[in-house]
Amino acid sequence: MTRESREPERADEELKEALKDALAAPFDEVDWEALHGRILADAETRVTRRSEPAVARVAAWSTRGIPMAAAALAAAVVALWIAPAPHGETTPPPEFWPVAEALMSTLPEDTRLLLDAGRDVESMLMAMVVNDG
Amino acid sequence: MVHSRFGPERLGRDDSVALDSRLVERVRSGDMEAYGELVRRHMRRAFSIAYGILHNRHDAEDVVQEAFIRTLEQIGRIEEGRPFHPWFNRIVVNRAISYGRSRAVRKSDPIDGSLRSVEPPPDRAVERRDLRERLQKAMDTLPELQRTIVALSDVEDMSSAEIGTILEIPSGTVRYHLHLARRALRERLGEGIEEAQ
Repeated sequence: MTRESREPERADEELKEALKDALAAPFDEVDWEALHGRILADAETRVTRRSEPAVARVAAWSTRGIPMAAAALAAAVVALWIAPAPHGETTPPPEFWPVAEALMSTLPEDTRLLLDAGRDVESMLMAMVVNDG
Repeated sequence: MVHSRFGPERLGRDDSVALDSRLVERVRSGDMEAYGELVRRHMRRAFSIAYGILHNRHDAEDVVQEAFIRTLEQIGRIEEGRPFHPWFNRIVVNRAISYGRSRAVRKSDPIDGSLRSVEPPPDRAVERRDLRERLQKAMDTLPELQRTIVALSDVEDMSSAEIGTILEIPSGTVRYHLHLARRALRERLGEGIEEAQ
């Protein structure tokens, strides 16, 4: 082996030694018992969580979930109770009625009867009987 | 020694692999005592590997913990008859790399580029500490793959075949990157290594 070919090898060895020295793990600074305990405690927690039956998880959830759902339902009922009526069910403006009357007068008798009967079921049935007749 | 109860006993390689296999089987069937023993046997090496990549004790401890938890979650995936430690070392290396990436995102202080500038050290201890710091900084400038290979090869004394198995690359590729990494480190450190030794 020539001197030139040995040079890189020697340099590699020196670098390796320096790295080993510089990057050697500080074993004496680690509290091994504590680390071991932490790992096992973490593992136990995960194993327990994984093996917990679904029913138990639902039961645990329901202790908070059911009161929350009941509170939400109560809030929804109160909101519906105090909310203003939808726009479609408000009383029409006064100018609506003359226009409606004029339109109705142009319709045939039986059709007018049928439209007018839309106010309640009984009138509707009567109108249908009349139309059939 | 404080840590004498941790790490594998002085068994032959075959005995050690067989013991690991028995422990893995017991862990699979839910034996947490066996898991504790498996942790005890491999935590020192795991710490050393993680420290070689991250250069920080606390980060390395976190990685060891994460790696053992991942091991427990995936223990069913170890192929029967395959040794435990290469599979486990792969988990440690992957966790350390991923931890290093997230740490790099968090890190705000840039790496000092003046690796060659050395003031005359007052004594040997300071000189060694200075070399350690410069080497760690020089390592941090390497690409992630090369940094990992140097840590596993030069610090952990793993063969290129072992490293190839862990990183899932051919051993020739490992040697190639090791060559590039060492050359880059020598360039960055200049004459400092020989002077300090």
